[in-house]
Amino acid sequence: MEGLVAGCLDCSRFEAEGSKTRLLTHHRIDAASGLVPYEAIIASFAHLSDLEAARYDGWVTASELSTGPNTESLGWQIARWTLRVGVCLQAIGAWRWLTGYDDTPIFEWLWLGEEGGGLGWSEAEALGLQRQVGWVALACGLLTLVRPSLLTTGPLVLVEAFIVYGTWKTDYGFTLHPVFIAPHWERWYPVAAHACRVFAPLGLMLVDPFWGFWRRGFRHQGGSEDATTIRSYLGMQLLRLAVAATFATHGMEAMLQRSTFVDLLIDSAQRLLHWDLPQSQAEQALFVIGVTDLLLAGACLLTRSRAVFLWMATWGAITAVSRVTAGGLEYHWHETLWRASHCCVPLALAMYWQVLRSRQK
Amino acid sequence: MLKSLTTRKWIFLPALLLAGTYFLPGPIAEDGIAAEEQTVDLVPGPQQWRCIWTTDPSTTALISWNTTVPGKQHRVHYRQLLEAEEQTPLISKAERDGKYSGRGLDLYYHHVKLSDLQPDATYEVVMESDGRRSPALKFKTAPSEDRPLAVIFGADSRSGLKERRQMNAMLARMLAESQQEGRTPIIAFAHGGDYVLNGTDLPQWSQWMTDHELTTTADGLMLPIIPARGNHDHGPLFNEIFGFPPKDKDYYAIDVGPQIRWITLNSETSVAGDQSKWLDKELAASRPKYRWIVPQYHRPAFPAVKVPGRALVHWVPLFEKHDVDLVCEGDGHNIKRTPPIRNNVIDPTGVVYIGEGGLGVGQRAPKMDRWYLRPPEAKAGEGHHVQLLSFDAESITYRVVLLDEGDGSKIFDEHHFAVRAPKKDEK
Repeated sequence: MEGLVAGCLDCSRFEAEGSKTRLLTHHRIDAASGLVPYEAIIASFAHLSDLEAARYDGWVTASELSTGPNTESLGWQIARWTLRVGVCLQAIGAWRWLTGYDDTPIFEWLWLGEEGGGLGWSEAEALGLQRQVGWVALACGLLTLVRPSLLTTGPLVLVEAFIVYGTWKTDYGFTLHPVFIAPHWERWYPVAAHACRVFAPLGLMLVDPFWGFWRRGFRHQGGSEDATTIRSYLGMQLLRLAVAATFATHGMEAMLQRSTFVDLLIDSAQRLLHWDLPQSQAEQALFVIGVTDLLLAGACLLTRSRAVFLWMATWGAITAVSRVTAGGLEYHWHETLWRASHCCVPLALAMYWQVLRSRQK
Repeated sequence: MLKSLTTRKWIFLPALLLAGTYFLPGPIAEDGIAAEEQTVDLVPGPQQWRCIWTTDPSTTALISWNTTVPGKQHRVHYRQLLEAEEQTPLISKAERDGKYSGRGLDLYYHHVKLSDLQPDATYEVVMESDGRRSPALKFKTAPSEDRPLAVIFGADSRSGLKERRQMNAMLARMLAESQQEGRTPIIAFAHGGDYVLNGTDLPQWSQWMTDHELTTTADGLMLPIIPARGNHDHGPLFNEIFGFPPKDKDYYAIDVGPQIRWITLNSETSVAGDQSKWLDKELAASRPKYRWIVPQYHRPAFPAVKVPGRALVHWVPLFEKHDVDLVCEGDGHNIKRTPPIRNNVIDPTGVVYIGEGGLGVGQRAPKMDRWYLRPPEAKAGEGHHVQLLSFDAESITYRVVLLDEGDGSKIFDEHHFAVRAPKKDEK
């Protein structure tokens, strides 16, 4: 079993460094279960002066151990970078919105009087905080692109959660009042609709820990970035749930003929194709789109089909860009960027499943 | 892969999820209004009455009221008030009854559409539900003769309940004073939307309807309302309260006088689709026939604080094409009057946009650096207010009346808009 040390899933990074890493292992095979409990001690590192040690007490199957070096694949790197780019673009969109516009949910919640569930701040105070939040989003978004860590993705989660909270407090749920949603669920609509934006930085935090506060706080001084760690798995599963929630809520809105969606279709058709799309046809198309969104939301939870996730990524990109094609760049470019995760998250998920599938092969 | 989980990870993961729930919102009050602000005191019998104008107001009026029980027989007794003779009251049954679809309150609506009324007449009306009667109230129909009259425009009464009630009381005083000899009578109150904070919250609407009774004068004269839907007024309650059919899109046009076309648009439904086509046809048909054309809607095309709504792209070109006289907007929570605008520049032949809403909601500082708000061509500010529009043969007199805080009503802004010269091809 000495030759199987590379099967330590959390040590793959050091294994990839070849001669610089020497791993000593003690293995015993449990014949009944076929599982290999092991302890790996990283005895020395060529680039470290002090002895660094980490103790691993996980379980892997013997067959997994035999798969050989668990190096970071190109696909996984692409998936992580897709998420980074998505989160960064989303942050830029949020920055523009929060610093350039005065009617955001954050402002509304801070400014609204207590009788309406708000905090009753003055206009200047509310705008001041909203703009500060916007600048924090920009700084963290840009830093996330080059060095994602808890210090950069954590605030981005909070920024998006802040926006959701403001929306929740001021919009009071589903604007279309569908009869098939119970009132107590209806109020969670803003959370579900914004889930992809909230969970994108959270997912990135899990799948892409890098230098900084997060890494020091984690036991893996080696900082595995592999696709098969539990952090990656958890991060991707969260993103999977989030994108499903976002597609499902938007699908319901489309089925219920949300007027802004109708106008997105009509305006985009007019601007791009000079086609005077009748409202009735736009509404029919929107119903089909809504049903498709719901099916995609379900499919992404039930399958790992790359086609489903690529379809979601494409549609997420189209719907994000539709803000600009319908309304023009001047007032709407930030809306497109803010929805970047609607494309990037399913794209990263598609890459993730591809990486896992390659590993299995 | 899951088998590689460590014990510490299993502790870490739920902790992370638990921490995530910290950022999820906590529960809010069921009705969105603090309990101490609620003053709804619902009693058996007709209450929360309103007179609504959505069809020809010279001959029809929708009389609506609520009850706390479904009841069996709902009707109104009405008669024209004439000095010469006393008429026998007529009876008209409610044509639409039902339970409000909102939650949190058992409340039932009743609508009676009175038709074949005489123009420019005063009617006495008594609402009756299962033998219980409302006080004797009055309403006036719109005139069919071309004479001076006034309409109040206001918007955004969704919060600031104390101020909302003060504003309604002020409207009642303005209505009463305008009925005096020699004054221009106020005939209607056009509400530009955002009545309540949450359009699906029945207790909030109930509070609004109770407060709306304050617009009735001491001698029982009701102030007819011309309702427009705001972005907070989502859901089916709006149509139930104002008597629109359930699936109605809430855009319509009425004659508040023989020379005044009042067009109510809905900025909360599709703006680009059928509504714009309807507006184009409506304006094309109305412009040659009416001296004054005034559209109203909620989200502004030329906002004083926020970003332009979809009206800027879809309705403003139609306003300019058909030379409407004045446009009333809400949503911004301030006071504004733009210069005449055409093709996004100040143009004496252009269209003036007024409004932004101050029927109770907290006021915001307009962005005076926007090109269409710079004095002296424009005027903007803040304060609870309504716009009083007085129409006569030569001009519209526009006044912004601030909330009377015990020291008398103050005029924030006054301006006159002359009647448009006919186009060359119309001569």
